[in-house]
Amino acid sequence: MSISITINGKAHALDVPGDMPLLWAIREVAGLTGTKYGCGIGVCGACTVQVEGVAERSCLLPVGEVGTRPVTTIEGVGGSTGLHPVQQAWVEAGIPQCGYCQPGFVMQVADLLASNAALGDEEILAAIVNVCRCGTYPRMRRAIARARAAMAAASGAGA
Amino acid sequence: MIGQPRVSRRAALAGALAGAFTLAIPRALAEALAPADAAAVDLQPLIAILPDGRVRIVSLMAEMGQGVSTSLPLVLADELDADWDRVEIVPLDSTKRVPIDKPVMLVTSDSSSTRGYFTRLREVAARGRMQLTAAAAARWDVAPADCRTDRGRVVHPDGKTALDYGALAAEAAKMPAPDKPELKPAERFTLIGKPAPRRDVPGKVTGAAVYASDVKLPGMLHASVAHGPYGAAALASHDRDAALADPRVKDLFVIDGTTLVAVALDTWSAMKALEAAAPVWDTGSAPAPSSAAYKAALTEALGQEGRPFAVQGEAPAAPAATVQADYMVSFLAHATMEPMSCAAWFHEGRLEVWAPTQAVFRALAAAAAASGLPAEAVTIHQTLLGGGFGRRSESDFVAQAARIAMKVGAPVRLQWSRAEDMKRDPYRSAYAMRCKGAVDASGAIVDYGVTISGPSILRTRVPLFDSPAAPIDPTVMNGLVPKFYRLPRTHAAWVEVRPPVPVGYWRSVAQSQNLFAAESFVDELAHAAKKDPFDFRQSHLTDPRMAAVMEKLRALSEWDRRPPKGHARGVAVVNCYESWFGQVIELSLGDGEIRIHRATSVIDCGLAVQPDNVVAQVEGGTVFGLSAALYGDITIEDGVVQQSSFSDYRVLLLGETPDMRTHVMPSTAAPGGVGETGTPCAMPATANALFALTGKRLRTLPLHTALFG
Repeated sequence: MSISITINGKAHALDVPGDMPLLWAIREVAGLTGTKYGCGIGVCGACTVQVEGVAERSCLLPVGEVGTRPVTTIEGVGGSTGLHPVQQAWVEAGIPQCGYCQPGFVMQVADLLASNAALGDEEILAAIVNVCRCGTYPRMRRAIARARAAMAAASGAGA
Repeated sequence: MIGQPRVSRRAALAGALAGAFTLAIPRALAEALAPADAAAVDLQPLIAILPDGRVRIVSLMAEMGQGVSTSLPLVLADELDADWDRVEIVPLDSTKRVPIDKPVMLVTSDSSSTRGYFTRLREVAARGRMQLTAAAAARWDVAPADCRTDRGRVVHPDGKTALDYGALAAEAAKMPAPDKPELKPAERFTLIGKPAPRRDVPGKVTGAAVYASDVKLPGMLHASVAHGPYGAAALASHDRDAALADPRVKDLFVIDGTTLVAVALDTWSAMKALEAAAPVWDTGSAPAPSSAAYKAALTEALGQEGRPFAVQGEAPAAPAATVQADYMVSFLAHATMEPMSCAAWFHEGRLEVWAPTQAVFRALAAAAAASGLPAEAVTIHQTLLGGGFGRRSESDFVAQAARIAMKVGAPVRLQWSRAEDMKRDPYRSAYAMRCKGAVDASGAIVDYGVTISGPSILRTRVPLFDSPAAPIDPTVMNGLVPKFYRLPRTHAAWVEVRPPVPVGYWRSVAQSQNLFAAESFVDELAHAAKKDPFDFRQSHLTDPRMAAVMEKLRALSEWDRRPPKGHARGVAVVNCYESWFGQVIELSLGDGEIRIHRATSVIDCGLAVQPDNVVAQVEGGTVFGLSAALYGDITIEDGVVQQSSFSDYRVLLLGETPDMRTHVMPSTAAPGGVGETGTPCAMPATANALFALTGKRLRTLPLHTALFG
């Protein structure tokens, strides 16, 4: 059976069972390995992608339930023009250490900042429960504030 | 290019891969597989120069987040006077010729990379720079001493004419390498100590970075494993038919007697097959490992005399106050973000392994032993590591991948589940410590004694430590008796208690258990002497570098300003890996949680090769230490580890992370280690802050459990 999904704007026909978690379909069938396996139970957030712009733990979402909703992964979040403001802020702050968890953080933060403009800084931080074992959190605080400012400026300019 | 003896084989392999499969090979991997560039000149070990002036530098050590894949090549590039923008960094593999050290020593551990290789790498690069200069001087018929080097060029004495390294490389390689290379004076450093972004950062933000988990090979299958409980004697039963009922599952077999392996078209199907197989293990007749029983044995052992060390000085006559306190720390998991993973492929009589290893040549030996092949028939390609912390200095997962690859006959990638990763980890062991000390009427320490009970990590790894002549294991001893305080009398002892499960190196090793006892106890002595704990420590310092660190820490942490209402501060200091470090933790209690508000850190690590990265390592190391201090606790019942994921092995999250103030002391002294130095102080400093807040002394880790149950 073939399942049709759209990842980063590209249609994929994947020959996988519908109950396969989206994570493994993305990584091992579509071949996009930026999305990581960390725990498989939706706790650590290394597998976070966006489905219709909403951050989702892809290790818990069966690929058969995605339907026509577009999936965005770390490889596609920057669009065709380069880096997303969150990625840009992450590079500028030199956040990644081992880096394995960082794609998940970027996908989570990008959604939170885009869809929760009214949240306070501390609420944003508390809403991000992804795990980083290298302990890169202190730099994330700075980078989130910077990305937020950049996104606000961009949306202001577009309005 | 480096690794020339392998040229023909690697060229053949790359040729085979050049067709239909090329797209499946990630770029970094393609680079590793690429044929030796015939035009590249092997100038010195680790350094090759291409005709167009690009300089290719091998990253000698494993990149696990500590930034070493930038910092060591940067040291070489600076001393070579290479143009950093034209430096390419390539990973180490086991075929590379690295005559800089015995291969067995190339282990990324003990915060040893920069402090161990700084000068040796500079000498290697200085030889290359002098060869290049000599080649240019010969062409111009001028004295080498009148030429200078700058950003990948040798500049003529006229100051205008210059030759690019790329144009000189072939002649330079024929020049004799000087025995005594002349190192650049520190004031001529162009990269060392300056801001230089880590090269690995962009790929880690775009998803392009390739970990072992991401390796793709033609026709690759996916494997996963189920280990069973510790002490399992045999795999008693499993349902093979149920596992193989899924057409995506290709094979199911047992390795190492008790480890069940499933092989499938994808990782998820392999993991599902292991569940479907419902394996049952026979636990055998020996008592099943139990962490509670082991901790009881540790406490019991504190009553024994043990093997003495650090014994010096005379017993005090009549101390003003004596203190005795027992401390206990728990088993800790490494819990790297990337669960154990390794890819392997047996083809054309050779085994190739893509391993996220801290120890390429240990991994080589393990893969050779597991596959039954001679070491010459095995190649280890080092990938990025999704976290190390000591876990990936082990080669258990590499040996497994090798065994599975030999059996499967196709490229295969092994992926442990998170639960298996947490349940089969060479843990930081539990230890118990009994401290006895005394202060005199002036408030000075006059007696400092400690007995530790626990295992030797080295006993199972180094034959000497498993012999009657075994010295006392430094992984037991280090940091237990501080060397930077004036201690007129010290006496320590170790009672060995063999661990119930395999134990290993965990970020900061002995300091991770010993500093909690040592720096908690110094706090207790300060209390007995009725002194401020910061004053008390400073008044006992004998080491000028620690004195400077503490003076700076006192100011930066605002120790002398009253903390906000409901907050309290605690301090701890450590000297490890040739660095000096102090930390103040400020915290409060609320809603059944210990809330860490601020961590102030000062480090003297000698010359900081990448200052911004030193800050990152200190702050990340602090988060790692705080997670262990507050929550880290692996428990084992009937051989079964009770934790299986971050849901029951809690770690610090973004919103729980304190503000951090971190200062790196300016220094020109030899570089010290920074990867582990930031970790151990968090444990005693947090306990000391809790004492300051509550008056209650917590002597067992983790503190959240000690306080709230």
